[in-house]
Amino acid sequence: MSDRQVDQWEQRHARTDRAARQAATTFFVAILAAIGLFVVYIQGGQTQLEGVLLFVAFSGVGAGIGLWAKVILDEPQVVEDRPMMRSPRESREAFEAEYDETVGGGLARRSFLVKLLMGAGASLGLALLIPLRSLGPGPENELFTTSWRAGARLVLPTGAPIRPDDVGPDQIVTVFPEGARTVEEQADSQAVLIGLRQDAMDLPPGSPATVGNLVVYSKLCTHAGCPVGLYRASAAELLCPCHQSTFDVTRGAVPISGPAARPLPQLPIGVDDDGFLVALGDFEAPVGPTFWNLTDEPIVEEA
Amino acid sequence: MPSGTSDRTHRDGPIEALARWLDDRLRLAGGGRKYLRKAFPAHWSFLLGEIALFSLVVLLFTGTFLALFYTPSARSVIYEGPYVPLQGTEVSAAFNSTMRLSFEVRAGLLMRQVHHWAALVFVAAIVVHMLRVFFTGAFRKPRELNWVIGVGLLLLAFGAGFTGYSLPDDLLSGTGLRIGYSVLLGVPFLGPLLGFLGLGGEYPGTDALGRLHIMHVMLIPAGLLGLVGAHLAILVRQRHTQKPGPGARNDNVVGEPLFPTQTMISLSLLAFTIAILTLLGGLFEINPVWLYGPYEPFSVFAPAQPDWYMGWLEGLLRLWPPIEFTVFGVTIASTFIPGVVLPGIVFTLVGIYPWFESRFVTRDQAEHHLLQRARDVPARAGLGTGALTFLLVIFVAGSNDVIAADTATSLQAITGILRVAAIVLPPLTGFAAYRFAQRLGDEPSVPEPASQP
Amino acid sequence: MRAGRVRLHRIAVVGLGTLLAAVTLQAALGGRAGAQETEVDRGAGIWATQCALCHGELGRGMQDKGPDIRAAGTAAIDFVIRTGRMPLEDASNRVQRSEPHLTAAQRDAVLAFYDRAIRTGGPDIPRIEPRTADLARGRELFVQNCAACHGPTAAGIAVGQRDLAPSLDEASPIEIAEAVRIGPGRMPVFGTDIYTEDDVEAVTAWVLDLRERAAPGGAQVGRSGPVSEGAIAWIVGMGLLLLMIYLLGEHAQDPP
Repeated sequence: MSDRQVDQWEQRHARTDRAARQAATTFFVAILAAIGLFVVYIQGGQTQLEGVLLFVAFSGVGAGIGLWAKVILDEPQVVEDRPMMRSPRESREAFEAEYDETVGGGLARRSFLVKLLMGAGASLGLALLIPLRSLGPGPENELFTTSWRAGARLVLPTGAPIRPDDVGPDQIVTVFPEGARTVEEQADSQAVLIGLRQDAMDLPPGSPATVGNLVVYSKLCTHAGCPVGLYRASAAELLCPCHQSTFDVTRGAVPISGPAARPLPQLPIGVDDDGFLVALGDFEAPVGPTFWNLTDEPIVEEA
Repeated sequence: MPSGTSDRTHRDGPIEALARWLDDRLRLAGGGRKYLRKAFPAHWSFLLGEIALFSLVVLLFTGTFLALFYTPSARSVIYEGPYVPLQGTEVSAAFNSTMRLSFEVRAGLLMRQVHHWAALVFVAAIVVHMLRVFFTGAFRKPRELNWVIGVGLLLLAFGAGFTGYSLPDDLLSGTGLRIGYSVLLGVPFLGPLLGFLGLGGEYPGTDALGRLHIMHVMLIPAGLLGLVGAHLAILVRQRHTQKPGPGARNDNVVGEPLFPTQTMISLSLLAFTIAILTLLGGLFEINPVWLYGPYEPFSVFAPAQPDWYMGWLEGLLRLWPPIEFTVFGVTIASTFIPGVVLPGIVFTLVGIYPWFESRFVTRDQAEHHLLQRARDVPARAGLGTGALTFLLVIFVAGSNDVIAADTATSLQAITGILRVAAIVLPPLTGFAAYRFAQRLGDEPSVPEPASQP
Repeated sequence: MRAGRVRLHRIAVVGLGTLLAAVTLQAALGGRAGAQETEVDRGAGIWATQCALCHGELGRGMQDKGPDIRAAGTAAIDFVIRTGRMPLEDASNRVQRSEPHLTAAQRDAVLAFYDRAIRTGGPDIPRIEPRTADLARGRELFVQNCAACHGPTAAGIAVGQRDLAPSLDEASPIEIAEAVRIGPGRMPVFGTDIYTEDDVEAVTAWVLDLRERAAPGGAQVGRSGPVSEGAIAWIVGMGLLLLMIYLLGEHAQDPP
């Protein structure tokens, strides 16, 4: 070997030796970290320590293997031939000839049977969809009605009924119909009772009944069904946090900004003989997000 | 040489003995010679897919652990664990099991957090890998099928993430489920039926969590593993693409041998992936469901965003104007186009791109194994940049309230600006990229070496 | 003439003595009542110079300047002064939390004056003892009524137009309780008929707990939920991983 070759060999040797020492160190650190992990776990565990120790342990292993692969190993690159993916012409022609001799010709003669078989397969395939229909009931009237009825008292999430004087200007409370026990009933009957400021109410003609300065709207956003939870009291606007639809509470909760296109349906309210707030019927329109046959009349059940 | 005679030309260690035992039964020597020394082009950008693969490994491992503790039920129970602010609160069994895992199972919180961070990194790695494949033209013939499989993997990853983070039944993910259900409801004719079938009745339905669970732990992982298997099998059969360079032609493969070099590089990356994901899982809190509380359909909080990879869908819903109309008694909800139609178009365009490009842009149906630079097909650079810009703008729109708060600007103003940006910016950046690529491409470049016919 | 001068001298002495007695008596009597009057007087003085310019001498409000605050209640007055929102330098300035402009003594004086001379109604300053509150009830109330605007970790968020529901990190317990009762800015009012003192106390205790309890999962970066988490996943997660593959892989210009 020439002097220069000897120098290169020695440099390389020094580099790989150093890398080997470094890899040994990182592996050793990994072992220590793994032991530390055992200790932490036996002591009861601690999330941050566990994470850091795992990081150290696996980094140690990774660094060591990486150094080995990149610096210590002296594998030269490999060169392979890459034939085209398409089969060579002779191979393809041979296949086609064999196919025609055995399978293809037979199938071609029985094309009527093949077609019927495909028909059977397609029909059975469609039939496999049938179990999917068993997954649940159809919607029927559910999307058109909620559990609000005439005479149902408005109650807080705690179940307590409400008097008109309990809710002053700039106040907002979530209300349900009394007796709505299940989550399904609460989910679509949820409503907000809002106290407007004096002389602020400016509902469109024909709107459902209100009590004093109190008005009740569905809490379900007509865009994508989130509860419209933000009340900008001094602006009398309800803001939905999901996509920022904004509704003007003084004018029938009409959308004034954001992607909602329908106003929040209003609930007609009155006061019962004991002085508590009650609903006078269901919401004026279907609640929640728009669906394709929204404008249809709900199916009237035989009484 | 008759079998059983020991061969003394090599040291007879345990590995050699095992190899001989297996070869006696499976005939591995020929395949071993063929595959162990296979050439793997080793450019660093080719390791992006492996980040995704190893994140998936972490997901499967941590996910199995989580599944041993999780209860997929909406049945009401009273929380009685050590977290004081929830004691005595009515929660679902699913939420309860998540709380137990987070506060009472040793290393439980670490596993939960590593699992969630791994999910976020999994999709991020897929996206960066897709961008690399796109801009280098690696999807061209014969790899169109693998591109489509990749799009399928991305879709399954979305599905795994969405179903997964909905399992704890907390207030944030429950809000996201409600939005998904509402968008589904807006599909003409089939929407309400599909929504009711999916949940087993009117929202919220009692079967939702159980079904999400089966999708998340059985159906989607089966799909992921199957498609990953196909993805890798096709990759091995077609051999990896390579960058043009000294010695690299369209009819050869130049790279590191699979064994030992490439195997060790991959093992090292596996170790580092686990290391980084466990670091995140230990040091950074993610999805603190005890602060969100159990899901109740009449409560919500802001800011409310889904995990990052759903951000573009969220942004579309926030930006879309309030247009609803009724034709022939059919009302088209304002969520239908941004929530169903546009995402469908996006995925379809992405899926068919290899054919679109080869037929209408480059008119090139030849087999390609050499990668291109982004500038080599200016139309691709332009379309890709424009599409990416659009996706980035609507992604940013998904966090419009966070941006408004952090920059002290009007929420409506930010939304308005982003609406305009979503329409104006993509053609601008796309065209700029197109012209820039053209100009760069005017410089002399290395011609693609001739390949065998 | 000596008899006339003596009479004059006597008148002068009696007159001076009376005057002296009257002044002393006045000082003595005026001093004791002044100790009571002084705080209200001090408050009146501050009111005249700091508040009346926008809210009017009698708190009835002035067009384009300040609203009618007669029915705001001592809770509101205490709140705005404690949090430095009031007094405002100029009526057109943005109302926001800052260092208090008045000392505690000055605040008490203004409150005394307001309560005596201006107030016609409104909530009292709440009396709360958060350490004894029901934390679980507080959490529930917060999620149902507060989190929609203030966020699940009380970090605040934009609430439409240029309005911001602020972070509650700097709010003291009394300020939290007062804000709940008075509904400052865009905030709604949570009145005494629906929400009891115990409820307000519980919510305050929960907000304090959010601040004080250590996060078991590690660092809470940004506290904006999935937005922050996505940023960390990309910047820290993908950042470190991209670095790793750059180190592990080959580079285009590497020699074969």
